Amino acid sequence: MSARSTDLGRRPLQLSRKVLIGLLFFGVAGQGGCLRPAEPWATADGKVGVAEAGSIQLAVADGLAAVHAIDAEGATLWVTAPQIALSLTGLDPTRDYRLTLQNVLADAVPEDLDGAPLGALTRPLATEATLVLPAGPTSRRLRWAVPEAAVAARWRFAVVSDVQEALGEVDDIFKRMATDPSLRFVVSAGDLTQRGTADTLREFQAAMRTHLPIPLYATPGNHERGVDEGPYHRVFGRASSNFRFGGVNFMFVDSGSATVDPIVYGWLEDWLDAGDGLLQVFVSHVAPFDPIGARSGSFRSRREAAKLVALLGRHGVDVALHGHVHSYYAYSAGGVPTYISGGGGAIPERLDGVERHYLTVDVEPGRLRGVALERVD
Amino acid sequence: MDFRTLGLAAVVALGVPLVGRAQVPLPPPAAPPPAPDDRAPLTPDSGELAAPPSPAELVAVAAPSPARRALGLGAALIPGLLVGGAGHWVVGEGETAEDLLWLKTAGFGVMTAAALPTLFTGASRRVAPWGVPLVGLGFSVFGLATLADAYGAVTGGTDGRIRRSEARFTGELVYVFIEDPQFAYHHFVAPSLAVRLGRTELAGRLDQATDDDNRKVQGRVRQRLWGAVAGRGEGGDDGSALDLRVALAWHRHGTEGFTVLTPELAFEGRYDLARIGRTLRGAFVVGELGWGWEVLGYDHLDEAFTDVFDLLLMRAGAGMYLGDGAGEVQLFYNHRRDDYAGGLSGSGIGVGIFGHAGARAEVAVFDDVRITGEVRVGSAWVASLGLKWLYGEVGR
Repeated sequence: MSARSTDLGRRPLQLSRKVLIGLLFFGVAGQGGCLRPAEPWATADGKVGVAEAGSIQLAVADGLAAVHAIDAEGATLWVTAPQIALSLTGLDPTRDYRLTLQNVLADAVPEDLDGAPLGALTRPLATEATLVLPAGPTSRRLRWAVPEAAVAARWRFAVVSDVQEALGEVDDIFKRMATDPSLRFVVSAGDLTQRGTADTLREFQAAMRTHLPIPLYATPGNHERGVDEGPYHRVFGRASSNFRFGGVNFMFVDSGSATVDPIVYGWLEDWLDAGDGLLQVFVSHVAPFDPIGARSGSFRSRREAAKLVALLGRHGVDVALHGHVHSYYAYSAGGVPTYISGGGGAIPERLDGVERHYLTVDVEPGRLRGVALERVD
Repeated sequence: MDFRTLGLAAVVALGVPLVGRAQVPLPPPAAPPPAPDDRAPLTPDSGELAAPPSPAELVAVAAPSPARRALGLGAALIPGLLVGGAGHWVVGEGETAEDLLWLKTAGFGVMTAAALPTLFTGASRRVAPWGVPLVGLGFSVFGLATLADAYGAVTGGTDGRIRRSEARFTGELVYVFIEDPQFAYHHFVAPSLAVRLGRTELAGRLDQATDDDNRKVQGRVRQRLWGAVAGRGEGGDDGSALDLRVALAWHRHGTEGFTVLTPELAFEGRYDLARIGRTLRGAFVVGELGWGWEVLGYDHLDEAFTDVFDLLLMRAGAGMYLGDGAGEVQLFYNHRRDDYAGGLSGSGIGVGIFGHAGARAEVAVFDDVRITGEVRVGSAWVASLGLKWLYGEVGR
């Protein structure tokens, strides 16, 4: 009886020790697979701007537009850069083709790169244009851009991020921006919506179309990751992108997962090299470093943060713009002037004296003249 | 009569099946009970009955069945996740259950009290520096109480003990493999040496990449503020201690072109859970709370160091000793994101705020030679395997 009791008493102990030790290691190992959380977003970037309907194939260079709709009669694109180039093939030579571009600069004009004639151009909104491509050619190569002469030497852009649950009030900000004629466009460091659903992203675009007379170019935030990577790419286009305008090289880099995927680092190095000699503006949602270290509104790895800052500093980036923290901070990281502005309306950081706001950045030839904070409330 | 004795007596009185444990002899069979009309007080002096078993003997004979232990584990995890000590209640360890309940409640209280102002101020710069550490502290106590409950319910305590004495000299050679998509390195060699001078320990470690221009040098001074230096040599079978750690690390990333200097100051402690209850014998918790500063220098700038960002140091873990000073295993969470493991991904609103998790084991090959292994998962995978050599003893 005694021996049997001993066995009964020890067996669970021996088993449990093995189970516990096993759980220790396999439980920790089970956390794997998250080394590249932003990889699906980077991969999806490569599929933006390409669509087909029947024999018609549409391709936007560098994926700088999301194709919202396409059929045999026309296509609707959400444009994510001041100028884009696109090609259309497989057009029916017997019928016109209608091309609608949303989120475009009011003074951007279309050009057929092969000299084919263009049809009627209508502008139902300041940021929307519909172009008819007359029947005839079965393929088209088009460019949509602001003429060089139309870009002022001095100009301004705005920065707004972290709207989230204040989506219903974002029109306040747009209306305020609309009163400033020197603004050419708005850039956003993400968190446009609370959960990143297709409906709320479209609601954001609807507010833009109603109240904002200039385009807005964005990179997603962590709140756009409330759902999978599908809606953002379908509605707003690429998460990471690059364009040049008015002497400035803009780089939008997806850091919504508190990291930048190695694929995007590859693009970023190319963009930085291509922008050599221009002013360089870097935009991403999560800042590499949070000035309040204990809060950790920053990259998940401090070493990756330093790696990114070193890369930006080495290429002489002129300003880095971020969101994520719902306040305003200005500091230097690796010699790069860095601004965090998360004043789009999401639950604000209290006790900081900063409420809802956006930034304006003044550009003049060869330098950024200054960054100003515009209070909305 | 204390609560434990009362509870165990109740268990016996209710007729719960008793299972003896090998280490403690059963009391001799009791004499038949007297007739109801001449019942005598149940005292050793009565002369009518054998002496009742002592509380220790009651404990020994009241070991729950495997099925009840399994039930206890389930209770520790399901209601126990919210209600501390549920597993111990199920296996009849009322007093320890009560202690775990209080611990868990206190942890929850601290966590909530700190989380509310942190959340309602939007993680204000004036609140987060103290709110976040308190949230972490509260959550650690809350979580570790669950692990302790599960451990005690399943094992009923083990005979594992800390090593008899800390060594005068500790040398270790570690191979480290790192899988980090952001960096080219994979293989590191890390020699380290620690010297204990009474209640003070001096230590240094080098992490040298063999396939990249990356190295880290750390120096550390640890002062024992509370607890025995020499384990059982001074403090009985108890490894509980509180240390103050002052450290400085220099980390060179030559390929990426930056260097980080990290001074830090932290309290780190270990608490043997046998102090709470006998069912927790052989288990311990560890923790750390402190502050560091990352001083960054970039190759593209003329100045050696330009940027400073503060760093919250917070760590919590639980483990169990293996045998009689033969090693230990440990599961831990480390909030720091500045080392090779970085931080866990998180998702949605939680991105960027977590540190890394890991498991560590140390097993004695001989009393003074040990094999160490560790796995850490954050933004990178870090796995290490080391050989540790202990020489000399302190406090004996």
